[in-house]
Amino acid sequence: MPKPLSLLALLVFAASPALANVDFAREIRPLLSEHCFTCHGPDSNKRKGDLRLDLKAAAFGQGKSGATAIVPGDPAKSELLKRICSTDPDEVMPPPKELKSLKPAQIELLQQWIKEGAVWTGHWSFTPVAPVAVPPTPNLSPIDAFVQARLAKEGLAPSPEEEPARLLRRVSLDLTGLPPSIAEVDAFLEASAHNREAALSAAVDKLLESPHFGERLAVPWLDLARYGDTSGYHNDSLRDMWLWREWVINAFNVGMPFDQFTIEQIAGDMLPNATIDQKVASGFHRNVMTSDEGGLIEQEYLNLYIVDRVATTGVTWMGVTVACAQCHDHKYDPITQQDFYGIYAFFHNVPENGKDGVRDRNPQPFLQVPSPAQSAERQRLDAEIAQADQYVVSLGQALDLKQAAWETEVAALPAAPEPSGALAALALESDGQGRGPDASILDGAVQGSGSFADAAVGRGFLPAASGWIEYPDLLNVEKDQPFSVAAWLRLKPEGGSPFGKMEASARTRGWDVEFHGTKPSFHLISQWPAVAIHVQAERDLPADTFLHLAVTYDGSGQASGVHMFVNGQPEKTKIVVNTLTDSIQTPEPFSIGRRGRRGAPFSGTVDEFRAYTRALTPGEVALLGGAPTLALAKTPKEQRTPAQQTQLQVFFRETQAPEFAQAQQKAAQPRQAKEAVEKTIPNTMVMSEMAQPRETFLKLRGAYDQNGPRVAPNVPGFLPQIPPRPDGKPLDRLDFARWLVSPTQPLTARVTVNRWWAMLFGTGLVKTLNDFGSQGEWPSHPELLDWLAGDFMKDWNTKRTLKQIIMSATYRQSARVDPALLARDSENRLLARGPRQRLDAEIIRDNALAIAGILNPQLGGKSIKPEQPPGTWEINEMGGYNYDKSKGADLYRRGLYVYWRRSTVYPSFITLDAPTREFCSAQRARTSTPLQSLVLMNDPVFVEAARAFAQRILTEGGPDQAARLRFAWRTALGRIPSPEEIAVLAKTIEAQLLTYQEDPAAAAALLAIGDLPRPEGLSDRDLAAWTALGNVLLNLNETITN
Amino acid sequence: MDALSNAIRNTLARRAFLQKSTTGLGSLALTSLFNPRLFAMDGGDGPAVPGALGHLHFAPKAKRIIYLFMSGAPSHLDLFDPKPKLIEMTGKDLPESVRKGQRITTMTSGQKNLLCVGSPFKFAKHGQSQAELSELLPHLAKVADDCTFVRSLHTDPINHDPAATFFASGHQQPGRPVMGSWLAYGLGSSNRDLPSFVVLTSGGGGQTLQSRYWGSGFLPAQFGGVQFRNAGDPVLYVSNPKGISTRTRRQLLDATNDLNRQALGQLGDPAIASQIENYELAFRMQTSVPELTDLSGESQAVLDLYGAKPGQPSFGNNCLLARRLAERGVRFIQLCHRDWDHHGGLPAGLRQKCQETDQGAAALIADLKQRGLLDETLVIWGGEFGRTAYSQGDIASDNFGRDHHPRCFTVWMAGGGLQKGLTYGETDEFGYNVVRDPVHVHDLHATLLQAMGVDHKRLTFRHEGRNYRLTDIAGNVIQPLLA
Repeated sequence: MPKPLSLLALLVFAASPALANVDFAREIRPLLSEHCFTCHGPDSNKRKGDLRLDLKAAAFGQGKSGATAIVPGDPAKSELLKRICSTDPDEVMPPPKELKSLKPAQIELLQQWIKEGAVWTGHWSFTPVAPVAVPPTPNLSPIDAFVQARLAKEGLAPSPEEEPARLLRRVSLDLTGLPPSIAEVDAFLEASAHNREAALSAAVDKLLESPHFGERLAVPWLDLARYGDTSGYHNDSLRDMWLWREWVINAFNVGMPFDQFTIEQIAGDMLPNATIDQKVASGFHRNVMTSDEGGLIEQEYLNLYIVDRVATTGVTWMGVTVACAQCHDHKYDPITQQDFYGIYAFFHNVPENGKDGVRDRNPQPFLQVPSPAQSAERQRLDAEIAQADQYVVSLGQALDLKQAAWETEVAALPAAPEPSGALAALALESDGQGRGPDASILDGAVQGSGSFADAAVGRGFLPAASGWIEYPDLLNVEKDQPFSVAAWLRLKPEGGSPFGKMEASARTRGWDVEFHGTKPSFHLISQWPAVAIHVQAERDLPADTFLHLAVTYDGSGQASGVHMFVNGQPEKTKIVVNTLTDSIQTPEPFSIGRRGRRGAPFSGTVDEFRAYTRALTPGEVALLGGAPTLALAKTPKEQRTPAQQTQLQVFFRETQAPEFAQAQQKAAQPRQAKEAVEKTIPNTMVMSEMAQPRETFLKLRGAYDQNGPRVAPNVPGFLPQIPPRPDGKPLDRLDFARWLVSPTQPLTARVTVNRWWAMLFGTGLVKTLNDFGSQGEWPSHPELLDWLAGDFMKDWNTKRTLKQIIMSATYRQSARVDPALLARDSENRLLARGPRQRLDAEIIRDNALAIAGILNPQLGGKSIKPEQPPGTWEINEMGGYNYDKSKGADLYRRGLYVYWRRSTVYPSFITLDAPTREFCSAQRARTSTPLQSLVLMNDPVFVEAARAFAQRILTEGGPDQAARLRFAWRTALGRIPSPEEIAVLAKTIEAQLLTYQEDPAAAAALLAIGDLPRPEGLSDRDLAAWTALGNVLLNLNETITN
Repeated sequence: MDALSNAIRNTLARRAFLQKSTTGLGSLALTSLFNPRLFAMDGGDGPAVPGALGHLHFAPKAKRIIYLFMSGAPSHLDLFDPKPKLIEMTGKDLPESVRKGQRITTMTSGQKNLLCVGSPFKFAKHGQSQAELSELLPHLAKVADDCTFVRSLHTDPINHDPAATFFASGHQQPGRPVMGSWLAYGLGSSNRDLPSFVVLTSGGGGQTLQSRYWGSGFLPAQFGGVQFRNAGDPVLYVSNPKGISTRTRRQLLDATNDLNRQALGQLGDPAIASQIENYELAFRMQTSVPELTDLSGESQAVLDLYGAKPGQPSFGNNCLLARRLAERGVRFIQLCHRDWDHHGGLPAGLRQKCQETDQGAAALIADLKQRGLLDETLVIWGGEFGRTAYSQGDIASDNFGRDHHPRCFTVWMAGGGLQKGLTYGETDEFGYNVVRDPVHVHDLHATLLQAMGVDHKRLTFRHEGRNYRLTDIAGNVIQPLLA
């Protein structure tokens, strides 16, 4: 441990250089926050010695020990300094084990501050946005006045204005994510020659009106909103949220004021007479990841979703790391755990589940947004359904009479009215004995270790994987013989074959019923799989409950002659194999519990097996599967419970009254048609409120199952409060949304303008875009930030604010930097030069497609799936989702429309620093890696773009090589190339023309990459060589930088 | 150009990265400009790509980690932690005194009974250390004396997605960097031509993998695991497009860099210098990656040792690739093998999984050892949690299942400064609760970092106002595991 300075030494040391006045907010509070607040800050549970250093009264007051931490003007009496400088390991602060010791310079600063009187102010971002005086500099815009005042103080001069061609490209990429065309550059050069100001103003206005403006602004917003096309957790189910994305794009394009933009996204569903658009907007917080993992605990996940909404809202609008207060009071900022659950309560009333339960469409609540034609069709089908249902109801009386007669008939029968003439009836009570035709006895031998257990009727056979019952001579059927088999079964997820007669040989000749999981199949096999019939049910049947399964076969040798019934009702099936042309007979015995002596042991229970040498009719199967229900007919009507009464009525109508079945089938047709229409109607998840709100409790230590005191919805106590509602009701999500953009709430405007600033300059005025709290970075230009925030709040006009920044001399500076300035200000925080930053992943793609001339400018709509390397979605294939690559023009849509699967994001985007969108992300990293180089060099998307670019150069670029090179360069970069630059290009194209002249096969191979059709009339050699040149241009640092 | 890049080096070098990266991300692009010699970490030469830590906190016992992630969670009760009591109790209710009301998943919480089920597999003691292993692991048995078995590991989450995320990153929700990312960030790489964190997957079906299991979380993407793929390019886009030869690529790259150098001269932006360097690295990767993944140069004896077959993706192949990556100084190598989630059909399923993995994993240890690499390479094998002492669903003599069990499970480790032949920790006679020497996943993380020479409390990254670390706010180094 380093030896601490003694207080005396410090005083001597500090006395020598006179320091300028210490700024508490900028220099002291961050120091206290970092080194002291963990134990002496807002968190009441972790507070030591009852001392708080985040509040003035506590820090300046007498402590428990009698000492005073901070005595203004008197460092020697201030306990804070004594402890910091102590040499006693038990006394010194911060305790050495915390690894947070102060540096001598920091101690010196503290000491100086106390000496100067310990001026204390509140944390800057939590105080209201007050009017700021602009430095009185004639001829400078307010932005430039603030920036240049600071530069003057630092002894730096601003850089000259950027060359017009570079400036237009910068503005175009910043506002639309697309490069200017050569014609646009030329027009701008000409206009700039007359009047730079007017030329830029007009160009900016045009860009702000471009529909691509909304697309570009949406990119960072989708990061904040953690937008994805999938559910995110576990199997990462497919979802539809593109309508919400489209809403965001449109909202930016129409210039929706940011306050309205906020309110509609947080609580659009709760606005009076909410429009469809406003409801769609509320989907912001349905972008939260959800899970459908088997076995999860609902309460735990529901809690996660709401915590995420609070955290995301905190970062997106408040720039505060509220999430820290989930488990305890915030360590650095005055956010209590109570405050956290106060916000939580606003988001806790959505009628959603912890287990989302849906893997192929949106979980509730969702909104369908039909087109007028879809609405009309839906209405028409609704009417048809109503009419058909009406008819079903109208049959009621007649059916009841018929049922009464039938009941009398059934009740008079001595036993359950089974279809007669069974080939085998096996009760499976305690052994393999059963009845054959004409009351003969069948005797099966129990093999292995099966047992008999309680079942559907009495007891049944539980083969338990290793037991079976053999009947060597039974059911030795041939493919042209009709037969039926039926039994009560209790299924287990492991499946297996409940009965059958099939060889274990490679040809697996014979027949069986087999469950894959809980989905039944019926096989008739001569030679698997070449000569066989395989019919399979379309759905999984429920496990762990008894159900009756029957299969009938008409002896036709066709799969269409197989019918499957569950609980007496026809089951939907599909034909998997239908190629049976040869014998299915086998010496293998018929078995219960497996399909012969070996193979596919059944994991569940088998009971009441029946076999017939004919195809039973549906009515007969219904009787067989309806035995327990039929028994009810013997109970006098008045003794039946209402449930039994319903059961019997349903059974009669659905199995014994053909006119009812026909009427129902007729009603089913428009229902199916409607279902098909519904599937085509765009659907998006939205917020809505439960009629009975959930109660919210503070979660002790953040644990989902540890409720503390009840918490009412409210905003954090340290910020301006929402006045009580006139109707006396608790505050709701809409109140919260309005509060976020209320004039007294100090954070939203500051956080938002700072983000626009960062979008244009690469770094925010506050660098930590997501943290404006004590641990966030002090703003580089605090007055400018507050001036911009105050100005923004006047009309919340995003376009006006962006234009104002872009028109500033600060933004228009040249980005050129010399080593001296770079050394002085590597990150350009002082703004003595213009911005320069690599483009976002999606925009690198957009820019390449635009340069190539193949960008599809279609706005909005569903997500698209461009070429993606194999093995991407395959690591998470549980949902059985296929990556169906898009076709045609969809392949060339903008990057923000690329399908965003959150567990397996489109690889080149991740390589180029896009976030996964699993959680809110306020800022992308900008790294530079060799893997990025590989994407730009070799990803077929970029190679195809180079090929299209080559075609464009050859057809539009002019008659000769010089013109073409110039066209190529300017299409990529706008500006006019230098002779040195052209020389490199010329050398390259000449070498490549030679290469592909000599190697036509290589040319053909290169040109085969991508889906675009090959153009007519261009030689392979030319096209390939220019593709190689295009590849160079698309890889330049300048091309991927604004 | 030279004057400029010198200026960049001199003024920005480490300071920019080490200080600025704690509050923002803007200067990370400069990492490749640092002087490698400043970092004396991998012996005299230092790492080729330096990390955020200027120096290690302790003398390292291991230089790299190979993590064999068995996705879906293998049963500790049937592989590593024999429980005669369960055999005796098979078919009988798990006593409430054992469960103590602790939560179980909703897949079995609805069962009428939680019936104990003993392992059908025979256990035997192996080697001088007398480590007890199931008959399903005959290959591992041969190298048991090189391994450390931790029977008392426990975790928090009870479902796959959160538990696998927790094991990888120390937190059950997405957003945190995983082990390999922390090490790539902290220690850098000793081979510029390969990524410092590589991921290989094998097996299919069963539980899903998420790319977040090797994701960089809030660290920049460059610290995420790079997936070496079984199909197509092993590293994405490492091959030139058809029709672009190596010679052509070199010409195009020269043109690109020539123009970029001109831009650097005009604009002075160090990001351009960085990009120029990365294109050279990319070009070198185009050679180094295929050379690495080509197993044809391995002797038949080595292929047989692993059960590897060139061109046929398997866990054995991946283990062999892991050795080749280790030889080339890759910092963190993560293998994921799928489908260990035996809710039903455990006896057959577990046997199958062991057949797929036992040979390759044991071969990796033997091969590293014979090449003198085991001492500096830490190998760890394990799933995201254990499995229940009770059966999910009915019990048959050769068929039963086990549900998720976070309260205890076993991992084994080998090499890299760990004790050899140690069996650490103890669970109760039902294999349900830890009764001696518990090791939380955070503790395991702290111990792994310690072995790499890193104090887990001092490898941090400032994000949203807080200094985050792999072990969150917990973690104790388990000293007895370290030699």
